[in-house]
Amino acid sequence: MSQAATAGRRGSPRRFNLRERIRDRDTAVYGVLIIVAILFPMVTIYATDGTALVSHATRAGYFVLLAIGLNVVVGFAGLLDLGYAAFFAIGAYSYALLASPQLESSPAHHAVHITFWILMFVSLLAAAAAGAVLGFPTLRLRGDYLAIVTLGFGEIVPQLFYNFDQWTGGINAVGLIDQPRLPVWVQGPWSGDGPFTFVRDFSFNGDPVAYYVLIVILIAVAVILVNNLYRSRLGRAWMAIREDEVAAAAMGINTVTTKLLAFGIGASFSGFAGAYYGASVSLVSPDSFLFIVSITVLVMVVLGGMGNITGVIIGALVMYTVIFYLIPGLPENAVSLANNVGLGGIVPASGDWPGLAEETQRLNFIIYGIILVGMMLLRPQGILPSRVREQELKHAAVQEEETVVEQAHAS
Amino acid sequence: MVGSGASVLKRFRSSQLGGMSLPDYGFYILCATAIVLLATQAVLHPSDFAQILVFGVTQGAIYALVALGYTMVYGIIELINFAHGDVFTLGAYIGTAILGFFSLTEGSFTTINLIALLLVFPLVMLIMGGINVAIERVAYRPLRNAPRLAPLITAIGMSFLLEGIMFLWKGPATVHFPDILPQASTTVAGVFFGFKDVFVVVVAAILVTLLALFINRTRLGKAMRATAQDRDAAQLMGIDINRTIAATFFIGALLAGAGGMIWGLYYNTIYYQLGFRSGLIAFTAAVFGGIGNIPGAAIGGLVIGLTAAFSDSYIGSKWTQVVIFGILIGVLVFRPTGLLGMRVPEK
Amino acid sequence: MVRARGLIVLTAATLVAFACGGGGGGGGTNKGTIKIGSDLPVCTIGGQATANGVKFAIDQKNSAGGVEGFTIAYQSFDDCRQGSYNADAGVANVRQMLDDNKFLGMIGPYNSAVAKAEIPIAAPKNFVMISPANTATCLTIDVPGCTYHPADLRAGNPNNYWRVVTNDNFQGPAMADYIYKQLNITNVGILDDSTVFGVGISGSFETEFKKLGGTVAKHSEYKKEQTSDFKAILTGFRNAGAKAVYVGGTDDQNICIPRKQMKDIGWDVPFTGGDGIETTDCINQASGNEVNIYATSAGADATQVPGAAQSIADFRKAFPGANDFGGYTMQAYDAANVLMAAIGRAVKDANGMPTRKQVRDEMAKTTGFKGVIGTYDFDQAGDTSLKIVSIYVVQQVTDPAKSTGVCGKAAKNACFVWKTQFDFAKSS
Repeated sequence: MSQAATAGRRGSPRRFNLRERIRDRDTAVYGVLIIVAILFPMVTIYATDGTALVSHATRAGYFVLLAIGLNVVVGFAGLLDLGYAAFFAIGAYSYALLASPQLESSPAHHAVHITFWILMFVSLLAAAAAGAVLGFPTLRLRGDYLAIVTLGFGEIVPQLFYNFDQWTGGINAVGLIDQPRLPVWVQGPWSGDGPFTFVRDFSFNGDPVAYYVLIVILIAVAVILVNNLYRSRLGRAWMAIREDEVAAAAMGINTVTTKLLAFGIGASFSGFAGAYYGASVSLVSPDSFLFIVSITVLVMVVLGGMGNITGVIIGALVMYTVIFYLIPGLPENAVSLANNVGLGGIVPASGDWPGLAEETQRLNFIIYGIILVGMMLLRPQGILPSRVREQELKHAAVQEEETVVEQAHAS
Repeated sequence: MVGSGASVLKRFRSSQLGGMSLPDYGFYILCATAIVLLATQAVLHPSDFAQILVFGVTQGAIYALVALGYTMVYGIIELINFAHGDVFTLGAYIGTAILGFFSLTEGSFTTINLIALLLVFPLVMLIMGGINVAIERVAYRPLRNAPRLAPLITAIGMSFLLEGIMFLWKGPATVHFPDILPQASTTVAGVFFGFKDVFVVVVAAILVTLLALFINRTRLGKAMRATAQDRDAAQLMGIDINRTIAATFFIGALLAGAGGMIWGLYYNTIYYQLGFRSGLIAFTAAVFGGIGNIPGAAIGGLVIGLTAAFSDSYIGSKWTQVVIFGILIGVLVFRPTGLLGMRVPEK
Repeated sequence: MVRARGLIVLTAATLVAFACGGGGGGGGTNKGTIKIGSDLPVCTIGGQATANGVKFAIDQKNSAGGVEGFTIAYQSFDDCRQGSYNADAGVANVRQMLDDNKFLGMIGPYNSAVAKAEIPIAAPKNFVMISPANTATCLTIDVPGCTYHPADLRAGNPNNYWRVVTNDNFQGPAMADYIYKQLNITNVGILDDSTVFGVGISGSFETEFKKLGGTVAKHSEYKKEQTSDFKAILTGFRNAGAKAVYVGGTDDQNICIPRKQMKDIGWDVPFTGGDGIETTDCINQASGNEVNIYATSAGADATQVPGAAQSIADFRKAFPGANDFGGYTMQAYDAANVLMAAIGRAVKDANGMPTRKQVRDEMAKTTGFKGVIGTYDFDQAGDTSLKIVSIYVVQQVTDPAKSTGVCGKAAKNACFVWKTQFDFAKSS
């Protein structure tokens, strides 16, 4: 028994523990998410006697999908994409145009109706191709220039869908989008539909539970794919580029190809989400893909923890709950709170004061801002940080301290 | 396949033809085409053309003021300060609030108007300078050595925060800005312009000149240039980096505050999201002129203002946005150094 | 800790849901509660004033004993996102109502773009929608130029959509007629704000104006977030010989800022548009150039209807705020009463809580309903027999109380004044 072995044994339980703990954390989060995902429709339908919360969950779902995709670009490869909504728009329009009566009133004069299950992948490819086309000439630019180019792209794309109104209907939007169909579907108590029954030739037709099941499956597939990518050679190349591009290039990584793949793969997830969005909302208008959508998804990724898949899922869910559930409910709660604590006087509008309800509704911009600034200053690693990312940020913090010390010496 | 494509691009970029690379030719050819097309219009309908020129120059003068703030901040700490456009809008909001304390006569020009203007204009500039320095201190300085993405995300957050404050303050509707400038106007050879148009251009020109003098003639200006060139070396030379950067933010915001005031006085309506779009356009102007380059930003502002006006009338207003952001992407792809820039943003 | 946080959020959401589910039942000693929703852009002055009309009608009904023993619970949904209406938000609101079986109908939406998105979702569920303000023609009638079709929106389901105002088929033409015949102007420039409403109404104006023999100098469009300087566009109109400007759009898209800038280029001609500019915000945007803004409104002016005076006075007592009353408040009041009358008949049919289908069927049978503005009949498509378009103009008045009450915030004496009305029911 040599000394080294002893040291190794002494050292290894600690290291093992750390690894165990981290792996455990992710597994535990996944476990909880799966259980919640399965029980969610049953519990909420039973509890609220309606599918309102399931509808919310289906909308939260495509944000989760978008966040997972953006995480590949921003979190893994460290490329700031501020026009992510553009790829989402391309995915949504690909589905909407090829599965609705829209093209009948276009110069093509023929409506196209292809099934959702095929178009899902067409949307994916269209978005990925757009990502590659944009990325090809621009990915050589330095990080913040890339951010600006993607931002410009994100501004142009919805405008193009608007301007080519002969094809897309412009501001009139594409409506009456086909619903996914399945040959067989199971209804049961889990969806609040009574005893188990098989339904033949099932159309989703706005059924929140069906969409819920679909998005949960899509998310599960996306998580598995991204997890594997992350652990692959490509995933390590992304990390290397994120940490030091010059060093990565010196190590023989083709930085342009690697970045292009990150861009394309990230975009493809939003194409996926776009097709789902088009089907579930059954209305695709250029106004649904503005800058604010890109920012919302970015906030989700930053909040959850860039680079960590469980983190961004949690981030997306938390952010969705805040923006689309708590803030819209805020005015009502604030008003009843004010009435209860004897501040009823501030509720009605008077003069320049728009009323308490209106004023609380205006808070969402500030909440976005506070999350972005606050997270970057106080907890840049996010709610559930990626381990590697955390190390990087700590390293940066140490560097900063060193510089401060240096400065102190210098002055 | 992608890799070989990239190398094709590389070859395309570096291929030389009489001292200039191919993308350079592309850039010049595009510029030349635009100029020829415009010249045809100028010959065919001279007075219409001159009228649009007036609109473009006034619009461009304001963009130039905002673009200067972007370019200075980028020059010194390589940060795209997204919040800058909102600092500009906030200047207009604060301006209208302070002007509310005076008993102004709208629609004509009185002594009180003049006094109010002379007091409020510099006051708003100083307030905005102070606010911007505070923003830098709170949101950017702690992240100076963090990964590049961090301050960029904070900047976006600050932008939302400022917009949120204006939204909370005045709501979603447009806000009225007092109309207190002289209403005089005249028509010269079929071209209509008012006192306001002249005012905008003259004030902007004065400010840009002052800035140029400041940067080139003063000690602090020299410190800024040194810091922009090499921060570490500048520090070794005994330049207080923190002070210099704060001063850059201060001066950038002085110009943005002035821009906000001018915007308000000229258009008389403001709304909380104004800064986002104007900021992006101003940033495009800065990139066009060559980011980090001060005369470049001024020229870029004028060019973008003219582009917007010409696109509005000759192409159609719904294409203006596509044209401007198309220029942004085009410049970054073909000529990342911009019109006058010397910095190379490629890694 | 981290794990727990995620759970807490979800648990909290469930708890909130529980509380909501439980709270709905407490309606008093009567038969129970029926819910009516409204989906309006209440972040805007016009939207809120319209919601007030609904609330007023429902409060009145409840204090008179409710509908056939049922208490009506009113919930106002907001379809604004960032200060302006949004079709997605509207769809989410309708979904929320559909998810709660107590909702038997809704008042709204306010904007045609929202209606276009909502009808396909509500139609299969027989969910009655009555709009107090939608005017886009294609929502009910298929006319040449429609990029979407009313039959498609309903997808084979029986009609579930009605409106108490007339459509742009009449609003645009009324102004075209007025400009051509009363103002004697034969050349106009048209500007639209790129929204469904703006494109639609300016299109119907253009068609009619050309039919009358007029010339359209130029038709331009802009987007709120992209254009602040309209001078190049306006100069284009002037150079093409326009003697008036027609705008299709709404004040929340800054449609009246061009009015101000017309002064900056020294161009003094009438500025005309649809009901989207008959607002306080429009006068504010025009700052300094308010007079001679002409606007149509897709209904009779309540203040010009003798029978409405008492209702308006009662409303003013309940809602005394300056901005509480708007151009569509009384229309919303009538719409809510039409809906409650239909629900009442459906309650009788069902002898208890009716289904949405029963309410829809009864709504379709509505004839000769006496509202404050007039007597309503509806055709198969959902359009009202009241086809009145009012025309207003901004003037400097000495007593704002005697105008429509729609005046500027800074320019307190620049108010919309009723000018004339077109009754298309009589002329056709």
